[in-house]
Amino acid sequence: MSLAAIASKVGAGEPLSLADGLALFQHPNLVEVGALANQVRERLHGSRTYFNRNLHINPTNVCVSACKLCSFSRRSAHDAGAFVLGIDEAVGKLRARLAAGDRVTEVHIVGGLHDGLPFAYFTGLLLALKAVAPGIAIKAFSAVEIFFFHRLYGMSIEEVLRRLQSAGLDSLPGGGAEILSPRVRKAICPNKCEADEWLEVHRTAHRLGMKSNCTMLFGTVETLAERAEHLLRLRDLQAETGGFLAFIPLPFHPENNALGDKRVPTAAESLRTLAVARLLLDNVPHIKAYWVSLGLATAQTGLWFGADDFDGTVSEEKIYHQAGAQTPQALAPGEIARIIRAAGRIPVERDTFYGLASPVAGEEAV
Amino acid sequence: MSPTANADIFGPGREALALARAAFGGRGFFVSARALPADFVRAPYTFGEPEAARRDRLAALTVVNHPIVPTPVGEPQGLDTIAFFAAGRSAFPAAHIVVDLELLGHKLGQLCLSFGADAIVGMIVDQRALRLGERAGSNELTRDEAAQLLRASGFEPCEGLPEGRGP
Repeated sequence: MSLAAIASKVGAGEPLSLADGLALFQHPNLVEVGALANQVRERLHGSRTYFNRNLHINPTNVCVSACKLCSFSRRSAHDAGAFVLGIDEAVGKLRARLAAGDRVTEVHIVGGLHDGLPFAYFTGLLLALKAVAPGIAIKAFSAVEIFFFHRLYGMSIEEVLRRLQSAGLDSLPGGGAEILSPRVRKAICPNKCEADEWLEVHRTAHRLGMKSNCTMLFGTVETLAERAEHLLRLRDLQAETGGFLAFIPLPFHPENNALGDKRVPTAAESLRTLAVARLLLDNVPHIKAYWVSLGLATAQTGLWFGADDFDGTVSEEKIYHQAGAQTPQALAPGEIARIIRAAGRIPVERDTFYGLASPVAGEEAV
Repeated sequence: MSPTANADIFGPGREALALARAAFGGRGFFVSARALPADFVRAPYTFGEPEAARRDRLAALTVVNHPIVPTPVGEPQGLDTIAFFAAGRSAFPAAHIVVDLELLGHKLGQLCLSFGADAIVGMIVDQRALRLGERAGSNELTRDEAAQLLRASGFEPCEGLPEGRGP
């Protein structure tokens, strides 16, 4: 399939095929692929580029999954560096941000699969955070964690989600998707939930009225065809439920884990992945250039390669930094806005659900 | 307002990539050097400076037979950097436009290979240590990695610059 033929389909609003996706991943000219993705990005969002004020909390790094791709986890609570955050400690992080005058609108929570914690720890954590800031949105627990809770606590996926929702859960993050292929999952994360199970968690969450994000970890052992298939599986679920808000491609970082002989995907590979995602995922509203994982320069450039979201202020990101990420631990809102403006884009501060959180000072109306 | 604000990066990018690939018959080059070779010429650029100032500075570089190394003053910005590389290629279609890996890093550096650069210079070694601890920020590349960066950007990788170096 030629790029011109693909461009014609994109222009007509026709969904792209697996063969189209593969052709885009293999096309020798990154600039042309980027330009095509940018057309779609600008058709959907103009120059608007979203970010939010968020706080990352990792309740524990103790994890029974022992994935080869992970630099964050500890197998046992007794291992060096293992931690479980007390609920007061977690709430303290939010209180500190609020006390400093930071208008945080979202708490993002992901952690290890700890088999020694009661379910009440997680509902208690949500309730305590909401008690401190009732208006804050809590985006918590990847589908892998939800599926683990279902197995560990003997509840259906729906029951797990309903109970967490009652305690304050608003949406799900997109982590743990890795590559939705049995072959790849067996190679890099054999103890995590299966691809179909990951999708089923999101399907159930969407049915309960929750929104979620979706991701793809690329650069481990997957083929380009498996990347394209992954994107189409996400598109199929989105066609069914409409519950995904954003797609976030995550380049693999190889340091401090059992896949350390792999290289970090290049900036060109990351930009191409953003672009191909924008073109294949025509029904997912937002594509995120997650600055923590891409690096600031690549993420900024990604705003011209299909991405319309830069993620948020973050603070205390641990998972990527333990895998060798060189990015800062946090960015101030003004710094994010400056980076977005320097890219010739318009910064828009959003809430979790892409409502306008507040206008950016001095910014034109959008 | 930055020089890239509201700019279409793809028009200049398309032209720069085509010129870079044509300049040396599709070949791209990697040069192993701890310090920049003496005959390479730095072309400084500053984030946020007016586009006209950049054009004038490039036009003043009359040393077209020497490899030109776009050099950020301060922290390099992504779009700003690729815009300057594209402008450099446009100004000097037949010269070597070189990425300094030590200044730009290998990720942003490779991106410049899609926006006008045809060569990279830096510590290119047979084997490198993992980027851990004090070496976390190291920009060393192995020869295979350097060749792969060039190949992934559509160049046929070659070690060292060809004799004569310029057009």
